[in-house]
Parts: sequence; structure tokens; C-alpha cells
Amino acid sequence: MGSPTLRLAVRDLSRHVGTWAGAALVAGVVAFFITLEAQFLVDVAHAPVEVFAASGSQGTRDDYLTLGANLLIFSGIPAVIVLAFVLGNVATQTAESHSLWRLGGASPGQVTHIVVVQAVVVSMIGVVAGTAGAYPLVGATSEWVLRFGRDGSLSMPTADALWLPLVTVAVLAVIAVLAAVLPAARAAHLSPVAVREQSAPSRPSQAYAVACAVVFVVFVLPLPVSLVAVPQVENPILAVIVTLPLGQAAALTLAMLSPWLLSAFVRAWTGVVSLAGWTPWQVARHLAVARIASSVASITPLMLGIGLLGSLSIVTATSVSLAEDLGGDVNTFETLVLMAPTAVIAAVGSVAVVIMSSRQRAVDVATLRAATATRRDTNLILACESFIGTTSALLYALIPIGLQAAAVLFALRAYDLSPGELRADVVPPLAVLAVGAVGSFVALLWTGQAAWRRPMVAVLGDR
Amino acid sequence: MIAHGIEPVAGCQDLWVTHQAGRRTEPTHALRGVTAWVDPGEMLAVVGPSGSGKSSFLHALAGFVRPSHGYVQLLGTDITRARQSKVARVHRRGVGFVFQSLNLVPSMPVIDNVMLPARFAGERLDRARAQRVLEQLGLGHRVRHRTSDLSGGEQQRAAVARVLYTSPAVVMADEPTGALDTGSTALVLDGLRALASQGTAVLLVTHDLDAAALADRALVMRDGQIVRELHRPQASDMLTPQPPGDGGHLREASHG
Repeated sequence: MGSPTLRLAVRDLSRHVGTWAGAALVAGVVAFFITLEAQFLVDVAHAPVEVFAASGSQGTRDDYLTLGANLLIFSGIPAVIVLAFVLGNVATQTAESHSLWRLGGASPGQVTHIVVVQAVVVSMIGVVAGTAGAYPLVGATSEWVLRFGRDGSLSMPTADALWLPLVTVAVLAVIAVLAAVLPAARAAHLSPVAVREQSAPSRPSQAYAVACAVVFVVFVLPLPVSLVAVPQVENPILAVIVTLPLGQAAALTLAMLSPWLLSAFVRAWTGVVSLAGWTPWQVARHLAVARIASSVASITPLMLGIGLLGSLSIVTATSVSLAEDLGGDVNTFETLVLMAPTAVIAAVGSVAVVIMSSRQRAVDVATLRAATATRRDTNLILACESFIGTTSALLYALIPIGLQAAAVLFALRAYDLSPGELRADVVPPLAVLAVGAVGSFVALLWTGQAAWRRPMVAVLGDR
Repeated sequence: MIAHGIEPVAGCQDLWVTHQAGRRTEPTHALRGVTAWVDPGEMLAVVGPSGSGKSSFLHALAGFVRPSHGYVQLLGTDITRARQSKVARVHRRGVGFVFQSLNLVPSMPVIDNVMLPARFAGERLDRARAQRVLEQLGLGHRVRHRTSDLSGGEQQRAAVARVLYTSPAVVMADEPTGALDTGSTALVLDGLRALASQGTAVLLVTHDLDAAALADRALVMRDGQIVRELHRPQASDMLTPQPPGDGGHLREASHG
């Protein structure tokens, strides 16, 4: 890539600084947790054996290695999906720049190249910041996980693994390239005229479908296979636990399918609600559907967080309840450790997309002002839009949660236990929902106020 | 028809709009001492080459730009230094807009877009009337379609249908026929002309001299100033350069 193209890529970053800042924030949060989790795994592998024999230890080295690996997988997969949606939304938000370059003679390949370079540069800024921010906390975090909920004076030395941050940064750079290249290529191949007239199709590309199919077959499809073990395991508690991959697989599958499903889903439930005659509601639902690419990128991470945590909490609460009735021990501390990173990544990803869409919001506010909407009208519309987003995420997440509940009922029936044994802890998924709802509400109103401060002339001039 | 002696619906006095891009750059004057008023039922065209200040003039009258000097009045309210929320309330009282873009809420059905200002104002909706104005503009077959399914010309006509439906006191149209075919242009201009005949003041910023010739009055702008004012303008008049030293055509309105 010639230096003029690189200069153009870097200069354009400042034009969409809010959009790229959102991507950097999400990349930073993902890197923060991945660093903590990877360092924990390395620390456990290198710790002297006395650590695990000391008072307060909850398991052997193998137990902690399993926990570390679960942690990386449980938060790593959703983190990658959230990052992919966020970087995909960048391509949507910056589509007008792409159209200008195309009209200026750039080939789709050059545009793709520029966007991928931008994605890597911005992601790396976030990743380096997130990794650096995590390092002062690795010792404390490892100790906290090691002796969670127990007294004792456990401590684990931090392994000297300088290669680890380099590997983390490199792996996340590769993920950023993979996540950015498809939406960038798609955006680059759109007609510049269609982009400027906002008539570009919002359907996912064929390449996205192929990528989803590959991810589904390789990573998701094998997960529910554990269901066949339900009647064969030694006790009903274990049978309930082995159903967990179904809910997780359902949440991941729905996340990947959301570009196809969410538009109809949002249109359907918002049309059913009798508020349809209320102007702010009606306008908000049309905006949510019209900006479906942004809506998908905002709703999906939140759905993923609620769905994953909801299914996990059903399995944990039911198995704990069974352990109390039937005797046995269920280690619940893993649940909290597993939930925290996913919850934070999901909520931050959802809110970041709302912030990233501020330029689009300025256009929406200008359109409403042209229809003589007052500031109060636009605030009400944005509040409705926020409500539609978070409620869509909740309703959409009820699908994997419902499937998880059905799987647990199946496990209970297999051991002749009452369906009344089914339990759920609603606090974790509702906590994610609450953080996402408050965050997106504040972000929407904040960007809405910023849109009002932006001169109408500037917005009109951009068109 | 210009209704002299009637309170004008919009206007400005000695209006300057200056842009300062940076401390080291020279300020540029988008408008330089412009004074103009538009009366109820008057169709006022503003013409001039690119960069002459036509759109800046319309944006300043709409309250979208805060002037560096002068006075702006819209629907009897001084909006010279008004906050945007106050400006929006004035718009609600009776201003309609037709821009080249950003006219319609995407994905919302055309008829709902037409009635949107009335919805915001909490007025009773008249779907039959909305249907009629859409038919009048050749969009009878598009009533239930989403705006995103409409062509550019149809979207522009839908925007005109909206101001026809709401019949505001003043319509501000910025290049409403800029990217339209001949048929759509005629329908849009007929619609705006019909509004003026119903008592709405229409402020039409355009490059199209044939469109401007439909106006009751035309202001010719150059370098941020009004250099000619023509009553019952002809396209050829607007093309004719002003004779040196001839200030006879330039008449500052005495309203205000």
C-alpha cells in the first residue's frame, strides 16, 4: 500500500473519531479480560504445587487449569463475536467515506485495504491500552480467583511470561483483520450512489453467510453433542450441567443469524405493542428498522450477554438446588468468574455501538427537525429507540434461555425428577440488561443532544 | 401576489454570516449585509451562482445559522440569537422544509411521513387529505410504500406533499428540484405554487431559472449580497448582468 493511501487511512480516522473510539474501547476491554485470563492460566501452570495444597485452595492445579481454559473459551468466543459486530458497524458508519473514495477513483480493493488498515491500527491502540491496563491487576486477580470465597493466605507468584502480551496483541490483531475484512469488502463493493442515497441493501453478504456457516460447523455445532450424555452420566446434577452447551450454542447461533432475523423480529414485536399509535414510538421503531445494521450491532452483544448468562444461571441454580436436595457439592464460584468478563464485554459492546452511531444519529435528528420535531420530541424518540433496543435484546435472548430451560427439564425427566426442580437466578442476566439499558439510554440521549448542538447546516452539508 | 402592508412572515435586516475556519485563516463572509423580507402568499425565489450565499440566506432565515451581525425574524419572533430548541418551537408554529435530502424518516410509510409534522404538533390526522395531496403529486400508488423504496424524485415530491398537507405559514425549499427529472420538477413546482396561492410564503432557493421564473419575486445573489431584485421575473432577466452603477433594480424592502 502506497504511503498516500496510508495517509488517507490515518487522516480519515479523525473524521470518524467517535466511531473509531468505540471500536478501540471494545478492543481494549476484550484485551483487558483476555490478558487477565491468559496470565491466570500461565500463572497456574507455573505455580509451585504447594499453592494448591495450602489452606483455602478449592482444587488441584488441573481444576484451576480447567477453570482458566473455560474462562478463555466462555468469554473469548463472545468477545470475538462482539468485536466482529463492532468492527462491522464501523464499516457501516464510515460507508460515506468509502463512497467518496470510490467516486474519487479508488478501487473496491483499495477501499477494503484502507478500512482493514484502520481497523488494525485502532484495534491495536485499544488492545495495547487494554493489555497494559490489565497488567497491574494480574497478581491480584489470580489471587482473587484462587481463594474466591475462602479464608486463607493463598498467594500465587505471577509467572514471568513476556511473550504473553505479544501473543495476546498478535492474536487480537489477527482477529481484528478477520473481523474487519468482510464488512470492509462488502462496504467497498456497494454502489457509492446507493450509499449516498442511503438505499444500499442491508442484507448480509454471501461471504458473511459462508463465514457464519464455517464458524457454526466448527465451533457451535459440536457444543450440543454433550446432550447425548444426559441419560448416561452418573447423577442428575451432572446431567443438568452437561446441557449447558445447548444454551450457549443457541445464543451464539442466534447472534450470527441476527443480521437476517433481527429486522423482522424488531418490526414484529414493536408492531404488536399497542403503543404504535404514539408518535415517538412509531418514529423510533421505523428508525430502529431503517438503521438495522447499527441496531443489529447494538442488540446482538446485549442479547449474547443476557442469553449466555441466562442459560448459565439456569444450569447453576438448578444444579445447586439438586445438590442441596440430593447431597453433593457444586462449585458455584466458577459461575461468577465466568460471568463477569462476558457481562462486561456484552454491555460495553452494546453501548459502544450506540456511541459509534452518533454521526448517523445527527442525520436522524436533522431529519426529524426538518419535520418540525422539537428537542423534547427527539428525546422521547431516542428514549423509545433505547427501549426498543434493550427489549429486543431481552426478547431475543429468551430464545436460548428457553431452549436451555427445555434441556434442563429434559435432564430432570431423564432422572425422574420433578420439573419443579428447575431453578433460575435472574440477577446476572438482568444485571447485564440493566447496565446495557442504562448505558445505551444515556449514550443515545447524549449523542442526541450532541446532534442538536451540531449546526443543521453542517449535517445538511454532509449530505 | 405580494401583499404589501401585511406583516411579513420571515425576513432579515443587515444580515452578516461570517465563518472563521481557524485563527490563522481569513474570515469568509457567507452573507454580507443582506436585507430581505417575504410576505404571506408570496413565492420568493433566490438565485445566483454556487457560493453566492443562497443556501446560507435560507439557513439563516430558518435559524439554522447564528448570524454574526444583523437581525432575523421568523413568524413574528426574533430568532437572531435564539437557542435551537426555541427555533424548533417556532418551526413547529408554521414552517415547512423541503431540502435536497433528509426530508423523510426512512422505512416509515409515505403517508405517515406526510402527516408527521401534524403528529408532532398533536393535531388531528386527516388521512384522506394526506392521500389527496399525494395523488396530486402523482404518488397515489406509493401511499403505503416505505420511503426507502421511493426514487429520489418521488421522495422529493413526498416532501412537498408534506408541506402541502400541513399548509405552514412559510415553506423553505433549498434546491427542491436540484436532482429531478422534468416531470418531477413540474409536479414539485406546481405544488409549491399551489401553496403560495393558498397564502403560504414560499422561499425557493434554486439554480433553475425556469423554476425561479414562477416566483412573484426573485433575488439575485452574488458574493453574499443581493445584487438584483426582480418582480415577476423572467429567466432572461436573471441572466442579464446588472448595468454598472445601476442600482435601480436593487430595492431593499422597507419592512421591519
